[in-house]
Amino acid sequence: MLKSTVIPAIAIVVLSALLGLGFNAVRAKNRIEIPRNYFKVAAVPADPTAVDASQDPTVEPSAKGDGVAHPFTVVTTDEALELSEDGGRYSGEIIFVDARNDAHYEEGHIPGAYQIDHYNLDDYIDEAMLARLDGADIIVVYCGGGDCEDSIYLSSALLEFDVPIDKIRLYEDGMAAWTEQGLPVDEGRE
Amino acid sequence: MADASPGPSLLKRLDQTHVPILIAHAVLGVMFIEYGVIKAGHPVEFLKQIREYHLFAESPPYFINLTAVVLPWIEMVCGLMLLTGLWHRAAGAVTLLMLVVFTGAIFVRAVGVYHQGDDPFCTIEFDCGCGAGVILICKKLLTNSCLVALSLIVILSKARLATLAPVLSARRAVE
Repeated sequence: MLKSTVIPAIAIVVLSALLGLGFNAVRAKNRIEIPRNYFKVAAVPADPTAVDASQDPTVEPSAKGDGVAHPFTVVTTDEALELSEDGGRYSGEIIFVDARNDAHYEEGHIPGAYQIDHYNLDDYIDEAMLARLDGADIIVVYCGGGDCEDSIYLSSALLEFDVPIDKIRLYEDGMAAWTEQGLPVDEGRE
Repeated sequence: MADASPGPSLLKRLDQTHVPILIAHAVLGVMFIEYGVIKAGHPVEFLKQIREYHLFAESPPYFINLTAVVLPWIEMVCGLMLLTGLWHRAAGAVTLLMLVVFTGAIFVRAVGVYHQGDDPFCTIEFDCGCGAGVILICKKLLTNSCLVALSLIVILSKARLATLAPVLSARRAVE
């Protein structure tokens, strides 16, 4: 039994591991970086008011969905709409960032939003994007809304690129709420 | 004097027809290759699905990430082994282990969803990450139970199929 079943079973697993890791290493898109924690959330500071003293004090860091606590300032759909219509959009002082993959982004996104697929950061964060993030005063990050938490993970990842936390606004209700309210949507790539 | 020993049991006779083992190899082989290909083609979606089960700690991320990368290939290799008959019992053992773990995890997750809402258990549906998309969980549990039975047939069957194993083995297949 050992020789005829267990040892070949181990061989199957080892062979599969080699094939899987090899295929992952050479794939052009959606490569899983083994050491990377894709679901890392920035820690909520001990003093929530220290997150951003310059913000509206009535807007507080929030928990979302199944209780993922995060330190980011949340904006509602109305606030996101106001920011999208602000003159700062044209000067680059206010930018929108879509955290979803290519298919979802091209299906429909907030007009003028840049895309940073959280699971393929290297493909989206280049010098030009870093310059945009650096030049912006407000960065509104969103994803699908509902159970989608990719906007939280992307916002946390942006902190590792030295984006100050007080620039980031999390539009938690995302595209689901945006389209539900009949707000303008662009398709394809910007 | 007539031989009074009882004949082979029903299960043995059924096994000797080769029908159960052929069905088991074909169904498991095709299904595992199909689902493995789907998962390997969408690793990020599969990674997110694995996370929904909270089977692994997210830090360090090696276990969850390695599972997302390696598991689809285990499925594909097992499927291929079952279709070709090479190391088919070992492949059956691996598919059995995977099915037991998956089915248990799906059940636990479904129970969690059930306790959070008021819906009857068999109306609960979600994407279990298997490659079949959103599916009614009762249907999935039933399907997986059948696949567990097929895996057991592969492991326990005494029927000898035309396989690649004798080609590579030094021993002759004994009828």
